[in-house]
Amino acid sequence: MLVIKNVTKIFNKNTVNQKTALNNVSLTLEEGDFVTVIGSNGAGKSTLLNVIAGVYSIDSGSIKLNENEISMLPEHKRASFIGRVFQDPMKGTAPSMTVEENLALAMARGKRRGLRWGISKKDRKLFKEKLEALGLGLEKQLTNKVELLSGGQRQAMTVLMATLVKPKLLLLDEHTAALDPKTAKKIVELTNRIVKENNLTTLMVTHNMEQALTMGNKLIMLHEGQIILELDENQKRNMTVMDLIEEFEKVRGEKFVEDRVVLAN
Amino acid sequence: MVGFFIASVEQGLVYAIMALGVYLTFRILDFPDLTVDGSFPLGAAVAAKMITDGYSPLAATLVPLLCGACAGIITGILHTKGRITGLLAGILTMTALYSINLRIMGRPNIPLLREETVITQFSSSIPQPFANILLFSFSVVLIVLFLDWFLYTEIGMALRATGDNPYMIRSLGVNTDAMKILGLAISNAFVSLSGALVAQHQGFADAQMGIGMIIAGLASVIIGEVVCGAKSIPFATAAVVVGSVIYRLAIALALLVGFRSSDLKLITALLVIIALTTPRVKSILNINRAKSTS
Repeated sequence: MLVIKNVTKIFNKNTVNQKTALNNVSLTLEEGDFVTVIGSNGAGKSTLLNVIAGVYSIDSGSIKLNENEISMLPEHKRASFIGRVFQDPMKGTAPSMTVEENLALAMARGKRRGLRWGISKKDRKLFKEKLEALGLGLEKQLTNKVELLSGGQRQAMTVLMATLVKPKLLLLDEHTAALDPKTAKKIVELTNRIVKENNLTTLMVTHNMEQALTMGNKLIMLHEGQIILELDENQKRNMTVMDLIEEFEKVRGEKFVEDRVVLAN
Repeated sequence: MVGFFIASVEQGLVYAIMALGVYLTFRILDFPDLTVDGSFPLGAAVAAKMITDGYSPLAATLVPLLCGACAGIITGILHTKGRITGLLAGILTMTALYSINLRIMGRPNIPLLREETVITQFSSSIPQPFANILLFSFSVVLIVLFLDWFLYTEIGMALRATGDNPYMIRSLGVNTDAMKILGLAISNAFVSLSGALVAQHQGFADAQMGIGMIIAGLASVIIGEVVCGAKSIPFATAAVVVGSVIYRLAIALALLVGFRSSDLKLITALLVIIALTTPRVKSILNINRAKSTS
């Protein structure tokens, strides 16, 4: 499905600020895999998602999706088969456009956009159903501008928009980190449900170890641009947050120091 | 007095086409496009040259649409492919157009007083000033309807989203570079059309006639928003037309009370500054009031 092979990404090459964000990373996702990605700040988690999505080009290696090399495609072309949700709830929706207009933009992902009306009657019916399923009352706000919604509502919309046209790959970049705990929990439930219903192949970055262990079927830990730990479904099931930290210390031979990861929930 | 009013409405309508172009870049694409100061006289230059060379006035009015679109495309390519900031890309095209416009005209000024124009053609069957108002209203309504339709199509919505949240729309598979270029092309096509009509209306084309055009366009857009609001696209486009007419009336009024025509650019700039800073001043006053009461 998704095959990442020996990918290296270096920022500010040949300057004093040179930083290797990804160092020879290889990773394979099977159809329907839900992989959670953890690691400390600057480990390369977001860079990994961004090179897959095409925000950054890679320095070497290959990225294949369903046997097709995608590492040379521009971001907007890859977007036709990759769904994305960002950490910042403001980043995934167009604020001055209405709820239904935003959904219509997502509905056209991967299709040729032409001079037809942006929203059809049929679309509206579908949007209503999908919004109703979110349980946030958004189905009554179809013609309201998105800027009037809360961060949680906007993030729920972004998750829906990223999956409205079924993507081959879903990338979630700490998409609950900026929300309050209660809203974050709702978005986690929503994500789990949508991923399961559509059997989506998913890669989710998170700072939250608890979340990384309870969600998905595989887990990888990144450190300084390398994958230092890979857990499959069985290994993951028996892990606790403390085990995970121990594992990290064993691999790295250093003390784990990041309160945020341990304390976050 | 009536004459003064009618002349302002005429001007407000014909310049509204330019202001609608400015609205498209400034408000929809969130792109401050200074190409306008060059593409406006470009339209006038092409129209005047074609009319004096004996082409039909209708062709001389429509060809500038293409010329203006090309100017917009150049600014767009400089900005997206050349990675030049939007402001500078517009200034570069505008500066280059100054020379190009002089080349097109072959001299700094072409008079059209005794030539046949769309206006003389139109007023042969309908008496003035109705002919002008009718012709300009027709053009403006056409452009407004086009925008009201286009901005709700799939491409038009992608264009709006490009100005609103480029990250989001790129993640939904839209080439934002192409959208910016498209928006700049349409906008400058309108601006050039407006230049072509203004040249025929005032009876000459002049290399200098574009100076300060972007600010006049901005003034119209902002005045329209203040007076009418901008709840939705059809409201906003109509507001631009209303704003353009009010702006021309204000300018005529300034002349009537004794300002010189050379003062007009200063007055326009002040008008825009006041409109843009009013919200800021209001919020500062509110903060101070809150402080003094607490």
